[in-house]
Amino acid sequence: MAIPCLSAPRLSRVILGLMLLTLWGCSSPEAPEETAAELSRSEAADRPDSDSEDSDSEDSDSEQAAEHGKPPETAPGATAPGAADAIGVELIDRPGFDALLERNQGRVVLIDFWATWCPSCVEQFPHTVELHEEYSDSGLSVITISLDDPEKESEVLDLLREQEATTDNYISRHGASNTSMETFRIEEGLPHYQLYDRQGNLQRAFTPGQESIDLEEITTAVESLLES
Amino acid sequence: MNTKVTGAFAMMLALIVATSCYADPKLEIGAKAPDFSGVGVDDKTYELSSFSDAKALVVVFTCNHCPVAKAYEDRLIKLQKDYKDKKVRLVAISVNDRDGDRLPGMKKRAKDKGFNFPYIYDESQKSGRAYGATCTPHVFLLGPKRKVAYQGAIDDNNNPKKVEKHYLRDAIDAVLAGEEVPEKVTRQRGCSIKW
Repeated sequence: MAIPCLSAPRLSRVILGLMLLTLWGCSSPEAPEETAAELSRSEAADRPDSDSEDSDSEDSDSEQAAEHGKPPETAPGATAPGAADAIGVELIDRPGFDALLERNQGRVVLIDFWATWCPSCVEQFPHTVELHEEYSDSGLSVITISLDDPEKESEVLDLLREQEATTDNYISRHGASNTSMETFRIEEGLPHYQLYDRQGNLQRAFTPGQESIDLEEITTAVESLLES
Repeated sequence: MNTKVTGAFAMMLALIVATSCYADPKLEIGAKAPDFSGVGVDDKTYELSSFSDAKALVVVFTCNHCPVAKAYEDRLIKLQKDYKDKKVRLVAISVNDRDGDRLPGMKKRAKDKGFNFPYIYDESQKSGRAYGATCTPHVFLLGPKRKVAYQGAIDDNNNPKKVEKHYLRDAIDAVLAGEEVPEKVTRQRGCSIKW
């Protein structure tokens, strides 16, 4: 990419401006939404076939409610608690993810990014299912997205059924790859959780970092968003 | 400004925002690598200075139990083999506080797999903290002056048959050639480190 030469003072002002914009963009909770536009421009050429696999088990009541501007009373896509044999999983990519958030407007959304190759994720999975069982009626949508290779769907399903995960379950179309990490903005490895408020804004991301993820902190954050 | 210049700067901004807008790594690219110290599976102590003869040093935080770390073992063995004559060395470090990931388990693993690089245990976990390691595997490439030239994932897919981007190899080749590393930071991918 050819960048025209600039005089040193002008160049340093431009660099300072860009740095400030970057810091501004990174510091606000809405940053991922803002960068989505930037990313979609630079990624548009690279994006693979993106017909999204929208859940076709949507509750028609929730569709109607969404059309009339009311938040869906039941979580779109989730299986009714107790109907464990109906547990399924679908492929998901970024457009599908954005559509998912859209469908869940009005509900607090917790996304659990996990994989069968992540033992800690499997250990923590019951906590995710508990949150779904406890708070689904209060407006929490719990989504699970596995970063397993789509070829491993049966292993993923086995685990989901074992866990009685009547949550809204997906496998990343991009599998166990960096594309998955970039597509869903997962940082620092797995486990990874993202918590969105009723307006669809990312409020918290829980990453491994240099401490273990505190599951109680996730519960508290969920409760706090449900109350607001 | 004419539209070409505006377009070029818009692209630059998009690149900067796209590549930098996630949790900043603890160690910046270009920073002097922190020291590390640990006991190897051969019972010898290894530190950063133990590898002073290497033109480039690959430091990978890994462990025994994580399926992703295990999926990369053969790739690391091959990498060390391929680059040995080019004076690139590799050291694997476990900081996991977990049964099975400590020295006894490590000794068995190294022997069973035939590791051709030191596999060291840092009980203090200081190296993991200093490097900002978050998961296994998490790799850091250090150049001739032991500045961080690349950090993140070894390549872009757990499945070796599906790898499209060989981040670490590309970075090593660039460092050896004295060229700029094309992709200096990628998202590390693996199981969280057990602190």
